[in-house]
Amino acid sequence: MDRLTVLAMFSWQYLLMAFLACLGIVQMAAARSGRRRLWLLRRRRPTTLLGVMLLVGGMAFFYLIPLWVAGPWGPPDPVNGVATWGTAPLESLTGARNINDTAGGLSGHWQALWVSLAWIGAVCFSKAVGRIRHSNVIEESQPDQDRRILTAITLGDKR
Amino acid sequence: MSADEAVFRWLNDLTGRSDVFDGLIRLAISDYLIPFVATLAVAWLWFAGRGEDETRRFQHAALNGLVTLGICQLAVALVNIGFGRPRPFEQLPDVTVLFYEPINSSFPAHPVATVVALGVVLSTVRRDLGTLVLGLGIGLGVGRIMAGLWFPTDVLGGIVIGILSAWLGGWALARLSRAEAFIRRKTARLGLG
Repeated sequence: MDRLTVLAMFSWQYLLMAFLACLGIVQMAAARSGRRRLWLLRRRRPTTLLGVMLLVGGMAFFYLIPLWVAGPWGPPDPVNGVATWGTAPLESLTGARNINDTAGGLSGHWQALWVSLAWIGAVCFSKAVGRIRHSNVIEESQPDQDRRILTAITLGDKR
Repeated sequence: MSADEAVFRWLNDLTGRSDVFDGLIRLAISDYLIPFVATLAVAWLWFAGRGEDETRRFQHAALNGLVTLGICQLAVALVNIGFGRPRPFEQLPDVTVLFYEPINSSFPAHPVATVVALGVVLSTVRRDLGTLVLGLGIGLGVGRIMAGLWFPTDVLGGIVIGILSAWLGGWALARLSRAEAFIRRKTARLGLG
């Protein structure tokens, strides 16, 4: 098993997980704060739900894909017990991703790089889609902003 | 037998009995799970603030997390230069190992330091989220002791470094208020503040 081959495969799978999870986090955060121009959907609750699904789905994808995609997590060699190249058996799935960075796993530096890129990508994607979907929203409104304005006006009236 | 080794033996002996339990430990101590979740929790802060005041506090904490992360990595690297310690499976006989065998120093527990540092930062603005991440960090430490990768003192060292990094990160960011204001101004201009 070539280290670079494993690293390349690990990298794209990790990057995809990181992108989906970051997109989910952006959606959940934007739904909470009311930043509509980052929403992928039109309403708050579906946006939160989409965020949760993207986060869970992204992580599930990363940890389940060894069941279908061949990698250095195949059944152990009967002679030396080392994992062969193949799809992961169900019983060893939870440990399939535990690969040393000297053998093609991702070191902390690679992880930091991919997560940063994924975060930038997720924010840009949300902004681009949100701008199209919510083009009629002039200003990003905070959820309590309308209430505060209303309260201020009401208090002004009372005075 | 030292107390460190006794606790290690006690926890490590819990593994190797049930495939399901061992499988759960393997998943929980993965390089890509708990540290990733902790990072996402800090990233969430950037856009999650409601109202001006909470947004300012949350974004300050998110930047604090970034600074703290850098300080934590530096601190662990410096400790590794001055203090190298072999892993339990290298020192002791009959250790059950549930993970790949890392070749770097056992002390301090690097991922625990990172997750604890982020947990401390989070707890300054969201105590519930901070407590959850701190719990995950400690769980990661205990899991890796069970998996034969660290001694309990390695985990304690990681926790101490994590807490100190968070404190130092907060101190440093308070002195970098101009840089913080610059970042917040620029991101606001891009509509990302």
